[in-house]
Amino acid sequence: MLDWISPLTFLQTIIRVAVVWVAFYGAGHIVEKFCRTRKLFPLLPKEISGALSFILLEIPLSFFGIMNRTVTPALLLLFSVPGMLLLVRKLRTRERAGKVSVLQIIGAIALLAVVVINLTYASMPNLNFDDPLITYAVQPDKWLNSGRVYWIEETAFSGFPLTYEMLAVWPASLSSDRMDQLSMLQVFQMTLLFLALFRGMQLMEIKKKFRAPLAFIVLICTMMYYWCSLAKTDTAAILFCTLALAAAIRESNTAEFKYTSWLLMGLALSCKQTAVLVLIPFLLYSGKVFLRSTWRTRLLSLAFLALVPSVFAVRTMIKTGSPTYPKQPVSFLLKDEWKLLPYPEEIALINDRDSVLNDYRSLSLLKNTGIFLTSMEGMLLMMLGGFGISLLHKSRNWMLFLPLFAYFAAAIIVLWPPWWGVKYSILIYPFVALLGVRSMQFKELFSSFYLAAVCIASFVVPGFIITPNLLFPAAYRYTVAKSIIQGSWDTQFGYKVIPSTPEGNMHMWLNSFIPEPSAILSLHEEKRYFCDHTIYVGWRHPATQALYLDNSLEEECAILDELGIDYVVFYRSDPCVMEMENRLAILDNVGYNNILEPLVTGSNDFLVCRYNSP
Amino acid sequence: MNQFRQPSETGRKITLILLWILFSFALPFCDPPDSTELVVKNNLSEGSIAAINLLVPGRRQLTSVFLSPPIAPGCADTVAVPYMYFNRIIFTADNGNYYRLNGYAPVGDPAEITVSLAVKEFGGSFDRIFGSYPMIIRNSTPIAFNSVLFSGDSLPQGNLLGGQILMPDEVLRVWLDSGTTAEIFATDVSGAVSSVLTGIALPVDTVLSFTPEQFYHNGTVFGSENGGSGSWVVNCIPDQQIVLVEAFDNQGYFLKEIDCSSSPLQTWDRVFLPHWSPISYIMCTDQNERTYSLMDPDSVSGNYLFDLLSLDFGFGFPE
Repeated sequence: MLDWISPLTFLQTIIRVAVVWVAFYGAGHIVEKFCRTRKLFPLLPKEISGALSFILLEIPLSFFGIMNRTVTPALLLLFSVPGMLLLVRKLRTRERAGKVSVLQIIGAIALLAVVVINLTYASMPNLNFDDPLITYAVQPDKWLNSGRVYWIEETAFSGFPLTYEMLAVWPASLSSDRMDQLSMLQVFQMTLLFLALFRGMQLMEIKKKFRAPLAFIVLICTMMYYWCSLAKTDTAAILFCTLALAAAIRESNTAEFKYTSWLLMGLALSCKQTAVLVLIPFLLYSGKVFLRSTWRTRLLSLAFLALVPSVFAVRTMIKTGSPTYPKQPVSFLLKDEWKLLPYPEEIALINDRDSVLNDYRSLSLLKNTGIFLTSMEGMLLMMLGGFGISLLHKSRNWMLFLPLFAYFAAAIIVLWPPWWGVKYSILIYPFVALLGVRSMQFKELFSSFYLAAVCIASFVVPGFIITPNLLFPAAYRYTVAKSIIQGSWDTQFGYKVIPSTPEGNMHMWLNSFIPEPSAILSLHEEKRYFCDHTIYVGWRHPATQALYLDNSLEEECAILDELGIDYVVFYRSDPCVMEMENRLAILDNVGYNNILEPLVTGSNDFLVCRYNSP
Repeated sequence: MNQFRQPSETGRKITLILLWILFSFALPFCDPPDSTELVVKNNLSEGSIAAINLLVPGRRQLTSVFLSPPIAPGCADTVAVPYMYFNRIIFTADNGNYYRLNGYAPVGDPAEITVSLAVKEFGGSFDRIFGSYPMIIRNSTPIAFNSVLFSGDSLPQGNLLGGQILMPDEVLRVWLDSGTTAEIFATDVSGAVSSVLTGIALPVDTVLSFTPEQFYHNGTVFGSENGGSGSWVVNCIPDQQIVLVEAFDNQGYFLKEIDCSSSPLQTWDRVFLPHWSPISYIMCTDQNERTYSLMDPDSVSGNYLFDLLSLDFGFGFPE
């Protein structure tokens, strides 16, 4: 369970993730050479084109059923050889750096420290956050176990665009078990942020002397520290959004119109649906060039934007009837078996972040907006600095910041309440910092002092004083990093390591106890990552949602019978939230030789019942 | 340094007298009522509510309010209850089901309570009410019970669990009249019957724990200590047979095995595993080739009790 607290394991994880990137880089180089993609997408980084070709490779691998944990690592290793050779050659031919100042050395050390801090935290498997264990980490895991990409019937989330999940197949394939896999995916996520910064700085032509402090400010931000270490789609969307916006600004300055930004924006949309909001600044940046271009160019731009999302939309439409499923499905197109009912009122109440259950609901608009903006921490100061300088100098274009303000306004409204919606706005954070530095870097002396001040503030304020949303003080980050490097949990600051999930143990217990594939109904818990069997989450799945309506025991059993349910799992003494039990007649039939026959209870009250069809 | 002057002794006395006068006048106006009305709604699909049983803080005695006629499904009735906080309110339905609210303070006049499936005793602890004083019966074995019964004719007959299962570490609170002596036995889900435990319901907690020792007579004993060192291994896995027992040292090296495939260990069977050097863990294999491991023996008996939760599982990918 605690194998990840080890410097050796950490090092292995870093090396394996590096192998993935080197393979992507190598593949990207080959693709560019043979497919001449540079003509259409001149700003597309090699590792991104390599990653896309690896995603495409999954189609033939799936067709032959060999997308397993043997073939995929072999392919990665194969492509990592040219990637490594190309990287070595590139490093050799690189110009040697000129004179390095003391400040630059300090900056580099600080950046290295924050990189280690972020990577060590990312390498700690997060079992407390549900989403990756419900779908994001589940999809690549199940695909690799079965040797192909397929529609996982047990979750409606299979209808989402799955670019991130298809990308995650590759790092996941290098893992030794599910815990290690989670660690690998999390570290891979963090490296996506690194890449977003690295390539973003190149695209935005950030001066080299400002790159280390800029990266420091972004990486030390509490929101980035937490969200970019989760095995979910956010960081992939951050990468594509950052590059799309940076490329859009770059393209708007070039005479010849290219399509890189449009393809990247499409990739962002195919990772996370909230990237739709990033279309606001994207279209505002690209709009002028777009409107000036020919009809052919315009159509091609739109085609590249829609290319990747539409592949998933068509797939989802073939399966469910609606291209947008499960969120905002086109109801008249939707097939009956995929029609979703509204969530039970208790779940809806919990999910409604503006409901009476939330203490935060009484926050004023001003406070909400404050939380929303100050969550950017140092990046907000960068934006304000860049905006201020641009306003004061005629040579700078302060209008470049208006699309960002439009984005923030729209995000506050759409993702209401902002104290909760702020987590969706992280897609634009790195770009905010990049634009800020880009706008101020012509004033070198000012920028140097300003960035140094922001670096100190970004470290001191969230680390030791206050944060608007999440709490990860410096002592906690230090504890995690030190623990992993020294190989045992550090108790100096009193933090505890709690990496276990209650249902996780019982899911793994079921894997051992029932060798043959079984169908399990979970009355409330949504996680399924550690389970080999098919888990239907009752209130979420279209085939089981009717259980939570007022219906008879016979009707409920008919639903379970139709799905071939073998086991039902719930918390023994309180099976559902609030009064949801009232609508589940089967819960009145728990007992010996009854419809739900208790089999085993974990130490955490999580019960496995055998389902005996009446 | 203290920046405030200490009040004089006279001032302190005057303050206390004023406070006493204030409370003396105010208390009659703040006196809460002795009792309040409680509207009990029956939202069950079946089963009428026949009694309401109240447990107040600091007391072990249950106060029962019997309803005549019982509250039928979909109906409501008003009962008078003491105006206070209750540690527990247990509703008895005439179909044998029990419903429970933990920690309840009447709010409103009259206060309202809805009895529905959501407050059913699903597990953890169950109540069975025949009197006012609790006798706590704990399943301290690794196997679930499907029945708990009184021995003899003086107490109610039939399975006290109704159709429920008492999982390991769960408790059954049987409420009896003070001084009642009860002889109780249990049956586990493998069909094994325990020996009889005797207890007396008293105003103090009476706890009867069924331990594996009460079930050993159901199984066969293989081997004997004969003065040698070793460990007893017990099969506490319902419906599974152990075919192989192996011991390993702390470096994972195999030390000793007992091949039981010719005469597999049934539930509650015990086998003596002789070993001279310290062991790190013992592993058992069942007839379906599933493996179970235990690092430590049971802290009470010193035996290795293999149960369903000893099953080996891990983070590995499916094969």
